[in-house]
Amino acid sequence: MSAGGVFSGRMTARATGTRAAIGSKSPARHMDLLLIAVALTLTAIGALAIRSASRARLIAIGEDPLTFVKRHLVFLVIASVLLLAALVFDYRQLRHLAILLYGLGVLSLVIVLTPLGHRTSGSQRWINLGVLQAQPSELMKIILIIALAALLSWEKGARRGLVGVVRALVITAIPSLLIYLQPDLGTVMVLIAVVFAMLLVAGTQVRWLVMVVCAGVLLSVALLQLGVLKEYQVARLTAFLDTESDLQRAGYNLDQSKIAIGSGGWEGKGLLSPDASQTNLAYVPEQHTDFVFTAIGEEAGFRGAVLVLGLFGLLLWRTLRVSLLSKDKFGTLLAAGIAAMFGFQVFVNIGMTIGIMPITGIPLPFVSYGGSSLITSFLGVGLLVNIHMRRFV
Amino acid sequence: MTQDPDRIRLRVAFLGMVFLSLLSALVLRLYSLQVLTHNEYIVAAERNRVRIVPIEPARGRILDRNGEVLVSIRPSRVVSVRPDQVVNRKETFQRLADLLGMTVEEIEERLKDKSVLPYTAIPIKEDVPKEAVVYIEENIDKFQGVLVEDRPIRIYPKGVIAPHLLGYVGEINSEQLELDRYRDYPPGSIIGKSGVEYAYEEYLRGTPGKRKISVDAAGRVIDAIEEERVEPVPGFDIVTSIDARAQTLVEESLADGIETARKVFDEESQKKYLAPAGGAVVLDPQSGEVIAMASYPFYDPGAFVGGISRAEFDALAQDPANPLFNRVTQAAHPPGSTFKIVTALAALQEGVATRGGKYDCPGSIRLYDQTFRNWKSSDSGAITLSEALIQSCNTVFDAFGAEFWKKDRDEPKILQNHARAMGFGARTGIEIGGPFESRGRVPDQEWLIGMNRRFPALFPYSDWLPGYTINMAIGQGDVLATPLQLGQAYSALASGGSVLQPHVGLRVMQGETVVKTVEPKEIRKLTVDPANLDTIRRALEGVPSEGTARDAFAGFPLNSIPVAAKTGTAELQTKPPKQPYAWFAAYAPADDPQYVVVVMLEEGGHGGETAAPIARRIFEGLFDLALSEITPATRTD
Repeated sequence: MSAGGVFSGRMTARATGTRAAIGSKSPARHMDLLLIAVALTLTAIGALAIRSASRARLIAIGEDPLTFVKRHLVFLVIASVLLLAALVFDYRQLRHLAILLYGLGVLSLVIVLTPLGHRTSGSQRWINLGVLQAQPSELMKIILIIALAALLSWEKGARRGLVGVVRALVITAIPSLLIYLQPDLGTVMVLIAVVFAMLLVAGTQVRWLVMVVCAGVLLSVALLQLGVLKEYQVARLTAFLDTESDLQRAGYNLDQSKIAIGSGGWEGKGLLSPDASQTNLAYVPEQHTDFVFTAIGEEAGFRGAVLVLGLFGLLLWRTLRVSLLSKDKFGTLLAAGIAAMFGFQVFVNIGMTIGIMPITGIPLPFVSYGGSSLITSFLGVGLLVNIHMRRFV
Repeated sequence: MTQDPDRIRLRVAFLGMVFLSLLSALVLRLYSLQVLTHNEYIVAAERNRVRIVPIEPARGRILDRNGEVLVSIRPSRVVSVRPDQVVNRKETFQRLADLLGMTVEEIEERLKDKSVLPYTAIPIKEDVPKEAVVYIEENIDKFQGVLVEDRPIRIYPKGVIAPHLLGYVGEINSEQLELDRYRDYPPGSIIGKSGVEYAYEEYLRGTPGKRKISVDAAGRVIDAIEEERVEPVPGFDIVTSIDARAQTLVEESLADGIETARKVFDEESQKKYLAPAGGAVVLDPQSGEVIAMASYPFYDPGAFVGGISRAEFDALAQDPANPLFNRVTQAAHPPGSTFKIVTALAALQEGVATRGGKYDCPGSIRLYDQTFRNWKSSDSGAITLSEALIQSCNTVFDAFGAEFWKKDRDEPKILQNHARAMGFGARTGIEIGGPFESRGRVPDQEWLIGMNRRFPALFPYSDWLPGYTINMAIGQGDVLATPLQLGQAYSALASGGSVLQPHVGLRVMQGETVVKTVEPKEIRKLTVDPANLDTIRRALEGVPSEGTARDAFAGFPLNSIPVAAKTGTAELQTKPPKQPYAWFAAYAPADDPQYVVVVMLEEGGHGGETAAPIARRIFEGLFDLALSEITPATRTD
């Protein structure tokens, strides 16, 4: 029966009641259930926050107030299936598939930019898959992590020096450029954070890391100065620097977001409470997606916000733990990349809602409404659990 | 990973430290926002959510002296539009226009130039029929941003009555919002724009209530916070000194008289009198109360209710006849011979003339190389001052003027001081006048210097020439007076020297309770010999019986109701020349004055000819006599 797959082994163990029946090295014995529990808890909190954040707007246009919650739960089902699918094979096989996945990912990003892509509110980010729209840039994050992990664990000599750095930067730059053209600056920033963290963990010499940072800073300044960025992007990026900025312009999102969170206080105003007016009267724009944390901050207060941060802390701890426990370098780098993705997204997303980071369209993993984001996050968790459970084999 | 050649454990730990510090930064920032500066954001959230919308109080009523309601309010079903909430402006307005029998342009017109408070609706149409209301309410999805509400609106139960005196109301404009007077007024408030409505604004307005509403980000009203609603307090009622019956009488008589004047052919200009405008006022000489006040042409204050359109307002404001202008308080013209009471009193007081003295009244007189003509060319011989008043002999008064000039040639002040004592050259201070009231003009040395400086072509000399005083002595030239100033002066004469401030308000009432009583106010008492006043009074009694108003008062029962009066005809030295301005100032009964009546017609002919018949009809009405038809009388001064 043990040939039937990872689950059959565990089920057999339960059925027989004898733990000894399966070997101590069987992967199914070593799933990181805490990691999965944290992911599911965050998703559940996300569903509540999405309900609060989208209800007023949906009622105003005469729609079912639970429309987005229901869709989010559908995404959760798909994401859970994909998470399980990410467990059944040995993650090390991904090293051989890395080039293929990378090629497919880049191809899908090219397709997005063609007339086949779907355009919403000024940027072309989606591919229409009939019922649902997929956002290839989200999946590209995971693909890039796999590709970088494969690259950086592949050849010992080159990975620590300049050649390794340049290779890594080049394979990051290609999807980054395509995603920038959509434009989706937030995801580009995530990719940059990921490549940097993975270079760090891969053992790149410190001087090259410093050089990467300097190059990054220079590039950012150049982008701002040369006007490559769209005006709204610059405005949003710099709005957090000027806290008293004009309500009507870029500062509006930030002000409404800070008012929502700040007015939540210690205890919060209560779920769906009429007092939670910033949320329930739809003052915060894009609240069920990028600004979903404001609903938590207003309705659940400091306590709730810290609870969510604590859950993310737990998630990051378990992720880095996987990185350390991994049997091989590929797993270590994979986990580190996923950690960087989660960590950076959490910090930038929450940071922007409270005015310490620029406003960029980065979703809060597990919590923000959005199928592609949820699936990407769950795939990440799936890979982490995969690495964790195969640390002895 | 047992071996760690690249210190990967350390590097992962470093990544962990980075995450920990980033999460700590988030927690600290959240603590700062949610705990330390929490209250600030609570306030900001409330400011976002809660809007305070004022509730317009019901404006007080305006009553006549007998308690008749002249101006009131009633609820009206008003269709209003909140422009910020209209979804499809073009379609919605077209539907509204069809339903309300308006054009889209009219709707746009009503919305234009309004100082709009967010979350307030602008009335589009008043008194909307019930079927239209039902239709809007049943198809509310087609009429987003359209509201039906009951609003108190001004009504005029007696129709157009005393519009200039009572005034009109309208929405406060942006300039008025800046004024100290309207410190507490929110945009959109209804204010009194003129007349009693303006003067008694603080009493009539009432205290606005307020309503708190919560709104969402799109400005949609979510709910009203009813427990914090403050009801408005209705305004107080104003009881005026107006007698509605007398007012109607004066208005009809003035309009009839002007119609009549327009049929009279003027030899001099070789055309009929234009008589575009005129004014008439009835005062109580003992108290200064205004019994009636009419200015022609009239206007309909009801047109302003709920917001007059710019086109309508422009039509009124740009009408050459200027219907919004109150001729009684705002129009200052040379008073002509009605001013002779001042000259006569000054002459008697200053010893230029005596009560029994005789003075030549030739057809013309030459003084200081200038010829001054009487209004008739025949020589009347030597007559008394009284006879000179009765006949309105210009040459006698011209000679008095020359005497004054001799006495005060260094600085002309004798005639000026007497004129000012009677109220000329200063605002009467009537409540409805305010900054709009004209001061008229008593020309003097200082004025002349100013004119010389400003208009050297018209006033080449700053020296006070004898002609100035001589012209002023017969009420011509540069002396200007409003009908109300003349009424004030004749009241002083009638009451034996008491110069009173005319007033319209009698009482401010809250229901049956008197909040405030307006007391008569004596500005000054004339310090003149009562015998001199008496002489003039007796002389004026002769004007309707044997003088310049004899024809106009033919058949009037002067025996039972003696009338003291003076005619006046002002020649305006303008280019092109204007037709004469007709004046008539009178009081009756002469032995116990109850009413002072002043009538003025712009380019309406001669005083005895066209103004006096109007006053006669007014007296007939005031004393319950049969009303005579207004016909032009013999041309006199």
